[in-house]
Amino acid sequence: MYLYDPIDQRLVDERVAQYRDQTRRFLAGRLSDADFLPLRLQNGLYLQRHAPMLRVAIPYGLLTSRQLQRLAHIARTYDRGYGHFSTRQNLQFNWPKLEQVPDILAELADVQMHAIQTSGNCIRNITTDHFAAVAPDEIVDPLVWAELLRQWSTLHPEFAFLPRKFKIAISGARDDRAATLVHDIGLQARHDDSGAIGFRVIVGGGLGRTPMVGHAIREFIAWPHLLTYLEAILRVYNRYGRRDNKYKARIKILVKDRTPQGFAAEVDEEWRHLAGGPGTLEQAELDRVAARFTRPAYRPLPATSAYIDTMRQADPAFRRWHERNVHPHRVSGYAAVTLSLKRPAMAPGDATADQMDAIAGLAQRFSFGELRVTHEQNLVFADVERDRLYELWQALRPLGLASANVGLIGNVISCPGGDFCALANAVSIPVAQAIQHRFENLDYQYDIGELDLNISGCINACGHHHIGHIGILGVDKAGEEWYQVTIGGRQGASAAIGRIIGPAISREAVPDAVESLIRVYLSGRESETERFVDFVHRVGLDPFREAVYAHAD
Amino acid sequence: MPTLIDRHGVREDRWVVAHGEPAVAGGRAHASGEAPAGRAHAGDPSQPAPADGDAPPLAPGTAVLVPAHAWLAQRAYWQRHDGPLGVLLAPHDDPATIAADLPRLALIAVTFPSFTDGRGYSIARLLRERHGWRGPLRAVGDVQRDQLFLLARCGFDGFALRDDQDADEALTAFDDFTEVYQAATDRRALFERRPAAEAHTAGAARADTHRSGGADAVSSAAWTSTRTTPAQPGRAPAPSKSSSPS
Repeated sequence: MYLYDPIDQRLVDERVAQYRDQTRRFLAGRLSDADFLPLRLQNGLYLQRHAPMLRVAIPYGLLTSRQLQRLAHIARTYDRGYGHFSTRQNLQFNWPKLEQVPDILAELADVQMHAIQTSGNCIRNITTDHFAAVAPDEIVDPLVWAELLRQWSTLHPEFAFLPRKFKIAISGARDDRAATLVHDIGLQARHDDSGAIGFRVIVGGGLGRTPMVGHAIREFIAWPHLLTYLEAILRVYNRYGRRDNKYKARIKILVKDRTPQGFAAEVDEEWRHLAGGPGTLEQAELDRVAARFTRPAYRPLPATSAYIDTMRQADPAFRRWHERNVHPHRVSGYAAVTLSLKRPAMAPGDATADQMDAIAGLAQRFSFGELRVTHEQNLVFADVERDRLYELWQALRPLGLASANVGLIGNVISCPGGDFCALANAVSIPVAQAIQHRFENLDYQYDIGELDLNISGCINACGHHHIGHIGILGVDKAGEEWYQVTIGGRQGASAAIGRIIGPAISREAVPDAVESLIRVYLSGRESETERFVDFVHRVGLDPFREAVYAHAD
Repeated sequence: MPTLIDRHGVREDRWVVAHGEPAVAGGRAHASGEAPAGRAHAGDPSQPAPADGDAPPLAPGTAVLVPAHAWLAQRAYWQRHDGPLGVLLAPHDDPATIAADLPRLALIAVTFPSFTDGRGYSIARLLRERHGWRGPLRAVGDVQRDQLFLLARCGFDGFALRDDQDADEALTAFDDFTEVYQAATDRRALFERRPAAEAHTAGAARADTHRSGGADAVSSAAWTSTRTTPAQPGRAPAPSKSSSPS
């Protein structure tokens, strides 16, 4: 965990004071709704269907037990006893009172947290790999870079009023677990031929109304120049991005209009003036930020645990969980563990205050008092001793956090949808729950194999439906809720946008349609190693169309 | 009429805008139709081009702010005016187009049609950091209290506040934050100034202990008065607010 220094703390405290004053002026009628709107959004406050919604930043998804306990306290004191982990590695409270938000922000600042730039047309929370710093395939530790980017983007004076929101993701590993291809800017750590570290820069990816996979505009930017190069991109976008139509205002539209090559040339021309100037990073700063991260005091341990091997043989349920939810670690004898926030009785990504407290306690016992939030709306204990995995599993089961469904259909990603969100066309959570019920049988989930099913309640795509192997999108048809189904989307290094199989279907028809898709796959796959998404790319949409719409007739 | 401030107080505005457009085009504060800063109807490029040797029909000594499109169309004509000249840039204007004119100008103003249109921030930084503009740089239009800190960081030093803004309250905005991370026009990046910045924060933290615990109990005036102003080489200590009529 990055520990704030006195200046970091001071800035967050001053932001609380500034927002408290803004709220006071709004409540006194001295700031109009229109003038207050961008100010509150830049502090994560939406006015939603039932109540305001406050989005708390969890920078690059990293949390301490103490911070999670404070989030639990806030959930109990200011909300209705739960929070929702979002696909942006943030936490959302759905029921705060507008006048209490400054107090909530003060509670957050007290544990080195904030809600700065979690919404609004500015640079949003920086996201990264949830296995950062522990993944065996890592080139650089992206946490240090993500924190540098957090500081650089926080209250950036030039880029507070961009044409539209701006999301940056950074991956430090060979395997891209940060979805860098579908962000406004995606950064992928690289070595150049001389072994120097830098980043491949992807621009113009994104989901939403016009889903696109981003373009590499620079294969390698050496690390000292990262911030000035980003400034060049942001400046070109700030000056020339469209402001006349919010649906055409994302950087992806500008990149498309200028062509990726043309856009890259404009950025290079801008950067020519900035390269080597103020903001050029130095080794000392890198070292300083790296040194402010606490690091686990790993014990020397054997790579494998005979005890755990025995328990895997003895207990099939544990074996399954171990297979799906336990991940490799760069340090011998340790593993990263996914705590699933997905089970039929709960909305995907939701956690109650009691669960948060319990998780915080377990993180203390098992993972050096830290945890991560994933963009799949789960939590990760990154540093668990392999020998203690069975003990951890037993502790997670009564909390409902041991669903062995990571990578399976039960691990549904879903936005809050029309039950909460004012933007949504349709509900998401009941659809997710209906699908989870239909596929509750874990044996069946295992037989189906790896399958990402993502649900968004509207075209803003917070549920990342475009990159789900199966994507479900809520649409409005003459005031009624309908659902459009896409297949073939995927994340990672070969990210692809899913394709629509046909006309939208009713909510009741969704579980049957999903089951039809899966039957087509199960009866046609070459072998168990051919995943659903691979099968889709091999055979195309037709067999799926026939199955779903024949079934519907 | 908008109130003009700089970071130290209210300032008199002696500039008039040439040409029919209000200086704060699109600024909601002017929906009433009240014109800002004594508009002069001269040099409208929609009118026939002036004959050779013509000068703008303005009293000698008048400080005239010329919209960039009019300036670019008729530089020679404007330069025959006997008095200070300034250029008013719209958000879509490219500051590079007036880079060569900077030695002849006494003011540059940038319009914010809406405070959520952030193009003017980039224009300001380009003028200051790329084109070397050292003269006064003014934000006009939908200029509100809560953007002043950011505008100042990008190089603006004059602010024509939207009509409904309280100048005294606006003047506190420059102290919203006592430190910043990024390099901009006003300061280098924090990591490029670390030792000095940390020494300052240690001092400010001592001052903070004088504040009472609950932020609610502290009035906004008290909040700012307990803070020290960041040391700025070459800048005089913050003077008391002047209140010249505008």
